[in-house]
Amino acid sequence: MLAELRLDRFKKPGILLERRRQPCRSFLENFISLLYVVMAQQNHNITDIFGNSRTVGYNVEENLRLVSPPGYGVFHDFPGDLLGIQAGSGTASPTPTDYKMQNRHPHVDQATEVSNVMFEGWAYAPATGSFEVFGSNWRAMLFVVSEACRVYAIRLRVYREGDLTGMTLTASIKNVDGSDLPTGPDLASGTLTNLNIITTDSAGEWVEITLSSQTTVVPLTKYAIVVRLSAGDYSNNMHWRYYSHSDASYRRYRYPVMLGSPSSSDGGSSWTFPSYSRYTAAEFQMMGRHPPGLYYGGSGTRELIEPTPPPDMQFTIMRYFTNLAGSAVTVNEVGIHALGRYSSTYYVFLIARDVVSPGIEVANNEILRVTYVPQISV
Amino acid sequence: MDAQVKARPKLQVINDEILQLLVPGEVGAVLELALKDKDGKVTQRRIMKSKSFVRQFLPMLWLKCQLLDGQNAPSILYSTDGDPSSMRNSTLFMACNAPINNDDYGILAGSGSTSPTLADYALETLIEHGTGSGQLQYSAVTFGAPSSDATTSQFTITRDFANGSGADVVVREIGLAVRAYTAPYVDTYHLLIRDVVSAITVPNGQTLTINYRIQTVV
Repeated sequence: MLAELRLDRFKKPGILLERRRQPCRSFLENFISLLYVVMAQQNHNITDIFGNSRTVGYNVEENLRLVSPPGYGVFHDFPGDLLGIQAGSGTASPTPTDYKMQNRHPHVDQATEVSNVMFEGWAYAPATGSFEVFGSNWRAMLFVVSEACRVYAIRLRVYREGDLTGMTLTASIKNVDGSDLPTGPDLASGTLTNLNIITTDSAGEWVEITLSSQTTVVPLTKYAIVVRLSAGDYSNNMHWRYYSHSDASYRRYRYPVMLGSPSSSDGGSSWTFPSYSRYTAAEFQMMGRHPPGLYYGGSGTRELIEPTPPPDMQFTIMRYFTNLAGSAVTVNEVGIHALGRYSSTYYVFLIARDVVSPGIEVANNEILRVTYVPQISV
Repeated sequence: MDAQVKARPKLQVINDEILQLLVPGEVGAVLELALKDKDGKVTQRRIMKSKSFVRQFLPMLWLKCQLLDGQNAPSILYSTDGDPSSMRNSTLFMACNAPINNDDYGILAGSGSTSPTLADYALETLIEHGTGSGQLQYSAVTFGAPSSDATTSQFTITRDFANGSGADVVVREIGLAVRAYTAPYVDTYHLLIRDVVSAITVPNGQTLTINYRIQTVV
């Protein structure tokens, strides 16, 4: 089986501007692995698009499914854009073990704002307590966003205890691992100095930390805000206010943003997430703007046909991308995400990735149609 | 009876060097044949590119990608019995882990020599499981887990065919068939691959091991 990759750029529906055809080069090990689960009827561990090794069960029907609803349409715990055909700007050559797009374009349905807006946050008055942050005692707060966000700043509701002369307050964003613990390098970070002007009133005040560079966070993916102070002790530290509620069902339905607050006592080398920390939410506001990206339409397959002359049989996997970002977006890579499942938990896996060279520039309001055409002939 | 098939044939997966016969971008299979004498010594080995995914492969992959039942495509899905199939997408869809003594699916051996066509839905002449004249004993199908090198990913499907018939048995065609359900919950079997090879004679008491290495190359 070979596959053809077709890329068609439209000014608007029906007005074709550009047509590309190239061989699909890159069905990946993850495709072979999902096929193995299906054919061998054996569970197998596969690396998902977030880099986590996931067990995929053989006794489910959904493995290899790749049709999906558009963008924000939630499908088995995932937004629709995470399944099916993908687009990105990465230019690195594919390898068999690629598990994610190098630089995926997020699903975006509006132009980038000219100033920051709040995308996600948590505030509750009165707070039930505060975390003391100083030295090697770091604290994190998990969060998800409902729309892709390029994060420019993080606001924290804090108050000062004692003298913080010469100290620096740092806030950063990190990925979390399969245990919901912060992991890897900072995706972005910012610092605040001159901390003695912050109130000592336990009601706290909002302080804004501007990130030195921005990072894009995407929906239904957990991240962590990590907060630390460069020095201090139990008498000289920063209090980060939190709200806590021990009833998990109450918390889940009333406060879905309340994902918990892991802590570290060794400067971020290791993290713990005791049960009581899962009932807490430190007060924060995520300030950012919609990133450049593409509007992901539904991803589907079209009919099997037997064209003459060869290939003898083929079908198509197709997705439309619309640029509503307000400026041009360049597509240098495309790929396919497929579903896997174990018990009642669903995962997403990259099964194909191709580099498009030269890249295709999709101007604002233009449409890009990406089509994979698997074909067989005898 | 001089030969007995093992329920779990010994499987050797070479992880450090994957034989590459496919072109970049291709999803296909490498076919390996190994003839072993009574002591397990390999007396003949062939390795070749499997040439022939037949028509059932693409519709089944298509249905798997959609998680749809096949009622809408009965004219393009044929079982190994030759019946147009309205298969259901189930947990067993595309399974090829056939048990011992089963010649309905998994790797199959045959004696037909007609060149493959896209329309093939069964081996031309299946060599049935057994110890009778012209028969081979089918082991259970086993698998080697997925692995990859710098360019190629693969997993391996293996089956042993032991000759206890008392005379030579000649294999000329090899296939891979998978399982599905047809409403209401009746097993059907569907041929995905059919390869015709130059005749390989399995003497009485010897065993033919067949590997299909399902591969993709970037």
